[in-house]
Amino acid sequence: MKAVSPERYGRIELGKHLVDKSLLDRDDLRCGKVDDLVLDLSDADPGRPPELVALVTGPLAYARTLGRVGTALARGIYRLLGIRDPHPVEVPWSRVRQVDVMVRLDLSRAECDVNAVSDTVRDRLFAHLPGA
Amino acid sequence: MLERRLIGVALHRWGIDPPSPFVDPRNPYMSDAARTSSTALPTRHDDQPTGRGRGLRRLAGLALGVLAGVGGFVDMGGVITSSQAGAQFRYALLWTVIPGIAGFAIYAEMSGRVVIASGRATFDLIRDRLGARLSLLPLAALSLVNVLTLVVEICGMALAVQLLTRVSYLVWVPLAALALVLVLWRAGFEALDNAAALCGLVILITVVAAVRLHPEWGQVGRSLFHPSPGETHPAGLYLFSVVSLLGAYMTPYQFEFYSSGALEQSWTGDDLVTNRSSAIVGTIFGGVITIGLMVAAAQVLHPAHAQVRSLADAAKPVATAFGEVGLVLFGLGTFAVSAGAGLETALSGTYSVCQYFGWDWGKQPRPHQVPLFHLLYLVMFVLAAGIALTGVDPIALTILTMALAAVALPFTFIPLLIVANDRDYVGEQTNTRAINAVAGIILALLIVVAVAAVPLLIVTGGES
Repeated sequence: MKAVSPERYGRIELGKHLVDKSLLDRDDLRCGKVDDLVLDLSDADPGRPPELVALVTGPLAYARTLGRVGTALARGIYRLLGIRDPHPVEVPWSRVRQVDVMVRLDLSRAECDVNAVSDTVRDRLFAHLPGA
Repeated sequence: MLERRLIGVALHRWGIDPPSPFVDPRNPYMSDAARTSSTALPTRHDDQPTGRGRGLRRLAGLALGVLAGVGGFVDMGGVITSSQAGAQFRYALLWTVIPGIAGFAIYAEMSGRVVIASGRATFDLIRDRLGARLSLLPLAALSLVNVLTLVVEICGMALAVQLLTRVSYLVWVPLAALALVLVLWRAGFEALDNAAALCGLVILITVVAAVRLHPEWGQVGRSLFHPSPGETHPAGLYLFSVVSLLGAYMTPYQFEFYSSGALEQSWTGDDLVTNRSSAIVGTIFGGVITIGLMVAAAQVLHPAHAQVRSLADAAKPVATAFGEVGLVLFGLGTFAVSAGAGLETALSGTYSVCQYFGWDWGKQPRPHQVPLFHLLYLVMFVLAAGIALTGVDPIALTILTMALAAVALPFTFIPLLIVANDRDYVGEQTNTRAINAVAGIILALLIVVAVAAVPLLIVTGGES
């Protein structure tokens, strides 16, 4: 099941259960989805098993699942918003606090650029509108 | 749209919000998953009435909600498609109300239950279950229909003002769009949605008009329960009308709006009962109004071989029964129900996209707190007003959009059915066999009729 309660299942399947879950920051604000996962296979320490080191999120991470058109579209949106050097956001696995119906991160809004798009919309578009 | 208003708003306004499902570990209706989570949604625990007072207030809230719901069921799509059906086919399409009612009640209840039991929003679940790529299909279908429905509702408001002032609707289109944007931006949604729904009650005038126009009740009753093909009409046009009527009864935005409202107001297991009963009560009211529209049109427009080509045509039956007063009431009613539906369509559109991408959503926080949520409906309104201002025939667009809505419905119904039968998401609250059977029949009807209508329409060249 995707809506996993860890104490009941103990272990979960990453592709099925973790990918596509919503992310929640420290202040319980939604900040995207788990778009991909990073496994560390570096052979610096031979014999060490591969390790889950990060989850990947953000429009560009999502766009990759849609191929070249998706990526171009996402880059276009970034350009439109004037965000320079867009890249998929990697959240270190050590910042994941809990996995249940959502993935809870130990990150505040300001600490990472998960919210680059929404922050830009707020600052560049909404700043001049009354009542925002 | 209706049910959330029926209960959610009503309960909220009467101060009887139930405690959040996410903080009650004993709640027997919650799936394990939802029970272990807590959520970002604000919960209100202040001055909860208890005992008998609570029961009374709940009842009063429900009554208010039902009243608001009656006005909220029908929208511009319903007004036009039902009137046109009565004008073209007299009573022959009345039977569509029955699957319409059943389908709406079944799927509204299902979407509410899935959200309550899983603690997650509809499109959050759909993407989780189907994956990012596959779930893009229902999202795209829903978004397209939502933008077109928004065009329809904005045109409905503008045409109603045209009906009352005789000034071209094109003048009113930007004003109508702007008014709705301001309501959402300033977070006046709840109050205005309720006001719109209560004003929309005057649309009941069509039911009174239908009675006053002395229809052949025996035949009306028979037509309701015995599907009869329109004998003298091209089959393509008949089927197309069935499709657009079904789309008007069950417009996709309603389900997304309903279930997201349930989540935003933190419904609990207790609310499952209310969810179920209100889904049924509300749709029956809506069905009565639809029957009124269709019968009244059958009495006045059908004998004259008239078609509904403008809102004024749709107003003719009421005007025949009540004169100028009827016309004004019909105009006011259409304006109000279109405004309410327009707000809900815009919210539904922005809810679904935000849930798919995992962006923060909700109409309680201010725009600077949830910027993408507010940006999305701004984009929707710009698109919709732009389409309306091209001068495309608003009545033809309404009928076409409702048909398209019916075609898009399986794209949201099928994922919903999958999730509602998955214990991993909803725990004990999976669909019963009976619900699955009825839901399956409705789905099959939608698909068969939609698939058959298009080629038939081309072959017979049926004009509308």
